[in-house]
Amino acid sequence: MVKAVKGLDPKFRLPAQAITFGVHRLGIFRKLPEGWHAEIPRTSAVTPCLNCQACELAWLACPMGMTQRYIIDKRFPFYILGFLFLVGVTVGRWACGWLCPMGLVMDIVNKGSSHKYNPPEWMRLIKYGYLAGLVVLAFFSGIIFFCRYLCFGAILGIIPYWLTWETISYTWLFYHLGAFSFYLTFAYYTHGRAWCRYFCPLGAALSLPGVFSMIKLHYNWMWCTKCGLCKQACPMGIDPMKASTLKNRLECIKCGRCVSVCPNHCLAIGMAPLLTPGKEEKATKRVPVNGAVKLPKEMLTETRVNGRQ
Amino acid sequence: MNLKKRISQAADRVRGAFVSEDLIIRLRWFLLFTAILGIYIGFQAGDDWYVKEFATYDWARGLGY
Repeated sequence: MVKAVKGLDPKFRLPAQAITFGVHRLGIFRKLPEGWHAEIPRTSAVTPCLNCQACELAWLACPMGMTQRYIIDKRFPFYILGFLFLVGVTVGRWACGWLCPMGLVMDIVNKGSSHKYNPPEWMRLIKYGYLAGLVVLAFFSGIIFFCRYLCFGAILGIIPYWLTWETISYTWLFYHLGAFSFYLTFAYYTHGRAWCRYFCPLGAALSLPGVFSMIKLHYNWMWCTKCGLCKQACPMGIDPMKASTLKNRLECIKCGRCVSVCPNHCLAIGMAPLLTPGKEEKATKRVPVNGAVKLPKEMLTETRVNGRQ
Repeated sequence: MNLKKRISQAADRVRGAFVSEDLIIRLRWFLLFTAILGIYIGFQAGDDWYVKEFATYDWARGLGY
């Protein structure tokens, strides 16, 4: 019997994001008087999160900012690409759902989002355009163009920088507040995770190797009653019942909301296909819904690896 | 059938395509190896576990603020 990991409970997601937000800002110790902490480097190691390294308190660097810096210096970013591949192939976009500080902001917006408009699906390609654009623009402009003009996450760098050193001009402060407000407003009227769905270049960079991610969403069609609760709960607007499609592999942030809302335990996030003794028990005990047939216990050990329907 | 509709249908096919699990598993190890190699080359070039040049780099100044 294969034992699958159901995945972390989404109720731990908000604390995890909040802790990560704090961890990214441990450079605050540099502000203390003399001591070992004065040696904490400024942004020299990368993080799989969109975390602006312009922040005076940051000590981990955003891979997107680093990539641009490498390109400006006319060096190939082996370290960054290796890091992104490593994270992508192991956990995919899990960091987007559980660690990213901007994901935390987006989740907060999601709670109050109106979901009034549904942008077309092709807009998901914008993030790949942003990813390609930041490379091209950094190469031709010689400046960290994307972060300077287009990034939603730059606000995390600008405000602390402004508060701690006060050397930044009001023009830049208001420009970035405006850009931040634009993305927030867009997210409010469309989907709470609009930045992650449509614009985030780091999400795009992690999603490509994330197709081969070891940790993925598993779906067991045998217990499913197609109630659609998982699809409604997904902040990325994907259908968890089509777990192995290319779209799901590219877009799933492994937040676990679909897993937590599924009444029949048909979904799990982990490495192995969805088979656990605990879930079998629950499945055999469940009341058939919409004429679903209660299957014998031995049949429940089967699963379709690709999730084909 | 007009071009817009054709592109839309092609996109639907790609989006909805099921990815072969065998192919994924084979490529996964290749990518993992590539990732570790990339980090190794990066460290060799940087001669440390982090990017030394950026340890004291003022990013906000680099951004032009």
